[in-house]
Amino acid sequence: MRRALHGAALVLALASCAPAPRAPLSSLNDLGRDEVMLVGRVDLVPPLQEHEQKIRGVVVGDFKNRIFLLADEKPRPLPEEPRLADYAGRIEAPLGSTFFVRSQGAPFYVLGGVLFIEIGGGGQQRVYFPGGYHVALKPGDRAVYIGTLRYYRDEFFEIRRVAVADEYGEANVEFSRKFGGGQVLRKALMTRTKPPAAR
Amino acid sequence: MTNRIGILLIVAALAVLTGCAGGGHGRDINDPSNSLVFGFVDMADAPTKVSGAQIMQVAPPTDKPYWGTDVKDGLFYTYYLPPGSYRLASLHGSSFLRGEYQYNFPRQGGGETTVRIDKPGIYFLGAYKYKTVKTGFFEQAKFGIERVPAPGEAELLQRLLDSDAELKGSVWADKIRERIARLKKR
Repeated sequence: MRRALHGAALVLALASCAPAPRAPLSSLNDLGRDEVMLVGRVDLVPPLQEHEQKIRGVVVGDFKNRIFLLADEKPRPLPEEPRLADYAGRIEAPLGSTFFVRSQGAPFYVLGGVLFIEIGGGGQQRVYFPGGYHVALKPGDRAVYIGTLRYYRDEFFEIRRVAVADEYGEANVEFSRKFGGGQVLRKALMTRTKPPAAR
Repeated sequence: MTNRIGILLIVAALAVLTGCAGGGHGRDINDPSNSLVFGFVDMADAPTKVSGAQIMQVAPPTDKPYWGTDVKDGLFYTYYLPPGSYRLASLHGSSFLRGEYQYNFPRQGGGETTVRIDKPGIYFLGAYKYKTVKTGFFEQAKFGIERVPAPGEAELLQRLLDSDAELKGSVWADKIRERIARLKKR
């Protein structure tokens, strides 16, 4: 039974004692001296349908229609099942919407993504997404647009293709609306460091 | 080589029994849009034998995505599936000493244990052998299944014909015989 509870424990741990994510930001004034705002988006093609994700029971944390991008300062392969520590500094990206999160101003790598598609009801199911993308932040950056990471999948959640799309125009309009027109959003699209490994 | 790694759960009997019978969602066995989907798993190394299997319909969307199967000595099958995309979702079984077990396959991927049915027919998911996967004490229990060459498709279809009286008296009997004959010509 201890093993059966492991999956639920991971979800609880993520919600309660997991290392912090890159937190959403509502004002650029909240940024520290060495911090930067990351602006980007993750799309799933075709989009996640409501019936494909089942979050049941009392779940702390927001898993619905949300992909966790796992990141690190160094490129490295993720274990087959990411450990709790791998979730440190994750970007909790709402699928199909622009995210605005606080980050340390140092370059980093997107190692992969995790989408929880079933929690509760005696089981837990996760879907994994390939990574291998470099985010080139520079000293002095305050707000950086990193692009739309677009995952193309089939009905079995096999990832068939990954692309980084430049939707700077739309993102900048949204950025200006939220944070004021006087702010500069630098474009620095994620770049692939190696072909995404099939999982 | 292990083809697929899944999660092994010890579960309450009630949960296991939910939807595990070989029901056809009210469909007629002779419905011309039906497909027969079947496979085999050797559970000799598993904590329990297999007494049920669930096949999940992943497309088109449905309120009732899980289809139960009949199971006979490791052979699991359903002859009610309408066109769509399906994956082997779970196996379950019980033993007096070890209780109820559910063997869940990951939702992502699945390779040969998935099927896209564009037109009605007979679809073989393959024959597999259960493998134990070692995990740490605090890790979730896992298992794997490995593709094996035997029993083959023709042998399993013959077993179906020999053991399921309802199927033998349906439109499936001739279709299965034709399929066996074709397989034997190969």
